[in-house]
Amino acid sequence: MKDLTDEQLMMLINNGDLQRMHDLFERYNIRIYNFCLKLTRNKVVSEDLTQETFYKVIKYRKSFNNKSFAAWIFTIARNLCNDHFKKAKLSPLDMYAIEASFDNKGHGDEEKKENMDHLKSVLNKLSNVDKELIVLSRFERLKYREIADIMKMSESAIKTRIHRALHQLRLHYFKSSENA
Amino acid sequence: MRNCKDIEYQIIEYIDGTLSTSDVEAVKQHLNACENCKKMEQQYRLLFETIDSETIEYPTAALSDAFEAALNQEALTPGYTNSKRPTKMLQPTFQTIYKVAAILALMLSSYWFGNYNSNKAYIPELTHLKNERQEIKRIAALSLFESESASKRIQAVKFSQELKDPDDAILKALIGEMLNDKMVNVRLASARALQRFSEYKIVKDAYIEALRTENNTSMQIELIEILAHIKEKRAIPQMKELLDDENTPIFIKDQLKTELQNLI
Repeated sequence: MKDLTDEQLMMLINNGDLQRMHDLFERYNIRIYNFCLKLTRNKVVSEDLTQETFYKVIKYRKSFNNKSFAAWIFTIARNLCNDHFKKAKLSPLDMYAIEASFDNKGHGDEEKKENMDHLKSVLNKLSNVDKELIVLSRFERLKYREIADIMKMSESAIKTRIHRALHQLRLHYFKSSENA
Repeated sequence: MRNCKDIEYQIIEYIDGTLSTSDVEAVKQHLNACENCKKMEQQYRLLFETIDSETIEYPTAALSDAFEAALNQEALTPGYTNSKRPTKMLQPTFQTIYKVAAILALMLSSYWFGNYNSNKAYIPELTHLKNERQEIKRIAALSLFESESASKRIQAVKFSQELKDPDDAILKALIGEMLNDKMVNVRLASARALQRFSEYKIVKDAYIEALRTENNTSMQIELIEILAHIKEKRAIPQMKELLDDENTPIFIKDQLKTELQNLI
């Protein structure tokens, strides 16, 4: 049963076996939580948004289009994050500014932490779309096809944009470190 | 020799290991010859390493509790399935209502009786009460099976699972639910409940019959799993038929192939 894809599980769920939703929760709750956390940088808010995401998945399961489940659930989470920022009257720009100021405490050694802080500050130099593309493709490891579905662009356009965004990121990352 | 601009985008896929074999060779050749691109490759590796060093955060247990509650709530919402099976007509009768009321009264009085007598606590009395409680559960299950509400019928399945040795009437009721209930979740619960009695021939026969008549994919998967688990070789023809049916979804066919290999 563990071999079933997300989409096959959704088919079983929509055929009446609601309990299979547990499998999808197991597969996605930590990913969605971390995705929200990267956008909001607030653990309580992220947990609420993750919970809200799964409510919607349960409630609107019949409207799932049978394409990629990952793209579908990340679209729901992304929309909820955007709603959250609208309500809190923060622009997406602020949302990334918050990300940079987030204290990445505890884990790992000093050098790793410094690298991560540096990475977050250079991420802020990119456009919002480029930042989101990097979060989805490199942090969340979604496929080009899935990101294309989420951002409503063609797969080839997404691939080119991600490559360009990474090129920008690399230039900023190493330029500023060499200057430092 | 490829130019450096083309190589940059290929390097990302080269590092990710998603490049085709012929392109991998071309990139390797270029990297060996071009200092600048070699440096760029190292930069990308360092950058990706930093990204991958991001620590994973975990939500609290409250999240899965809330999910569980939402799912249970949804399961109780009427008409949440879209099963296409012919519906079994059920008339709510006063008889059923009367039966449920009588059972509740019986349960209350036996609870009171049990409390009243607890200071005596003779072993024969206890056994008698335990038997009585089993009997109440049996009657409750049998009458709840006739209820119109799916959640009550599920409750009936649960009651029948709590019975130590269910009689023919309970087994037949469970089999009836598995074969005919209009709600797939009730059919699933019944199929799972019957697994405890899978050594009975009547239950084995019912599983084979269910596999023949069932159209719902969730139920089909469940039945194939159970039949394979109890090593019921008589199910092989039915499984083969399902495998040859062009309407059977591919993932069920895959499951059938694996289980058939184990059975034959």
